[in-house]
Amino acid sequence: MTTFRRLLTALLASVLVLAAACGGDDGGAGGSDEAAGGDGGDEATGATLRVPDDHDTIQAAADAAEPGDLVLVAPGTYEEAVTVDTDELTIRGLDRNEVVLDGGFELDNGIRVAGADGVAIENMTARNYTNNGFFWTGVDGYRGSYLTTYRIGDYGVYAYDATQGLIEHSYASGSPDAGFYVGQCYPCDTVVDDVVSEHNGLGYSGTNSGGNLVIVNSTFRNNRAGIVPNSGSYELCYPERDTTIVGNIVHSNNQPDTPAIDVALLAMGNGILPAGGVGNTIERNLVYDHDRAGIGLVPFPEDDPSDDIPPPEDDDRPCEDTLADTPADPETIANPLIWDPRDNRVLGNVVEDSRLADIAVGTIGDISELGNCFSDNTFTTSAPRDLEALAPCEGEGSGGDWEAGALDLIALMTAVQPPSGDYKTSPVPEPQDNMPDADSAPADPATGPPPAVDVDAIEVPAMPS
Amino acid sequence: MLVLLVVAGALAGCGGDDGGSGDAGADLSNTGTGSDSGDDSADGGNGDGGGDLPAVDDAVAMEGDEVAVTSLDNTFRAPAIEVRPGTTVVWTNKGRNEHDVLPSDGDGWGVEVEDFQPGDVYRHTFDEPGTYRYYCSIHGTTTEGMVGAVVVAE
Repeated sequence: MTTFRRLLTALLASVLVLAAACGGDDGGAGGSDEAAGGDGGDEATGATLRVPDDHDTIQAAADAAEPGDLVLVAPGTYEEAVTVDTDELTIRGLDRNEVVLDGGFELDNGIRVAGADGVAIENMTARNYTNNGFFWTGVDGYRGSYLTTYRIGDYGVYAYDATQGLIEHSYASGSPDAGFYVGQCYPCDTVVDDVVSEHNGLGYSGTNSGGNLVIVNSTFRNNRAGIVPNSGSYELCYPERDTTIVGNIVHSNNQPDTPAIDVALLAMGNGILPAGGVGNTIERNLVYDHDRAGIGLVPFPEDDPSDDIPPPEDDDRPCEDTLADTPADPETIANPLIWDPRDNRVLGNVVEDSRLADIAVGTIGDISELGNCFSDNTFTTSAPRDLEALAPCEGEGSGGDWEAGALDLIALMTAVQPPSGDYKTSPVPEPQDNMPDADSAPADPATGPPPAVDVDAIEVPAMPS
Repeated sequence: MLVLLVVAGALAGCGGDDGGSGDAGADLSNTGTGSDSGDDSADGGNGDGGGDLPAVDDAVAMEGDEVAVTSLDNTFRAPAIEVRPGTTVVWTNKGRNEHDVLPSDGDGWGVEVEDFQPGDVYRHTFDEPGTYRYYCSIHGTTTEGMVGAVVVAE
């Protein structure tokens, strides 16, 4: 949003705060209840707009709301595609499983937040949309809590060009691309915590994202592939880099009947698979039951690229500084363009029952020079065979044979996988846990950065019973 | 694994709108799997709104009878271009996602999502001076997100 609009929004928010402090009214068109503020310094002071009591639709309530307001949605099926363009709203369902946005396989996005900072969406379900369930773009500050998505044509929960986000306590299934996606941001300053993603093409995908991007305490199971950060010039801010993946349970991502885009078909059978990722930390995850690699670092070959790969010295350039870069002359760009995985750290994971290799790294060229390292993992098989000795995270490598037991990428890329299933018939999930006190909790817009995660305190998860 | 991935990339951008002067008595033609042709009228647009509207003052001047805009996920590259009357702008969807290109104000040009899947191409000739803002309705609004502009100089 423009500087002018930000200033206007800030001014409006300040006026609302002052009004509340002076005992003024609740403001907000159509509001019926005054909502208490949130905790701490991010106190919201807006009104509560009830759907359908005050407004027939979620869209009408969102349009009438002012920054700081709470849109509180009663159980029901809402056949609408909502666009939110007001900062700092909290949109909450009273019952996660009974407040259902339904796109009827005709509408594109369940709730799309476009350029409105600090919008939180809580405790509801989106299903049957052609593109995305819950979608934030062009925002600083966002939060999705206690969300459920299923039978969605692209992504369940989709954050693109969005920073300072928190996605938590949520569930996504039945998307041919990814259940959860964070893309085109650096630094993202975003946390994905306690989510479950299953029966998707990819459990998680993040293209060209990273920088204080943390994926923790979550479960990715029964997708075609589990966690797949990736690089490519089909989005800006390349490459994907500096994502922290810790304390997740990633298993059985070989599911042959999910909906799946081409990438998901190619990635099938792998647990954690940074494809052309850079400088990621993959630590203390429990990964098991995969037809290919439990944790694999692989190249991303991009056909018909739109730009060349930036040099490593650009790794720390913020996304916003790169947006106006002029792309390279197409005649000078390799086609396909190989985005190599480099400088990734794979530490202390427990990986088992991988039919190809528990831990692996591969590329088209010399993988010994890519700076990836593997240490302190509990595993049985690796590719190359002596991977932890070849590429330890501390000290010098053994200097052994990188070719022994190396991945056969050609065979992997030419393998035929079961075709995509129809997202419109993917499984309907069981009811999911509700947000506590949904009817009484105050508005809680997503102002400021997400809460810090004590990553060091996270242990390898126990095996599910 | 991810080998053989064919990712289309292109620049383009969805563009915001706001009104504008000038009709574009333009031809609408397509190649590849792009949209079918529409009619010849389009409203231009002037001025800037809020949000992510591309700065038309910084539009990239492009020469030639045909110029290219790439539709990435989810950005038009270059977001704002300046061309001469009679120039054909060629949008290519080089993203992995489907997009559309819709005029922010008026109609008579643009391509719907079913005809702008990854790899698809859409062409439109702008004959009349004006500022033509556009957007992708899936990944933006007329003022936010995936937005773009074609400035047809006098």
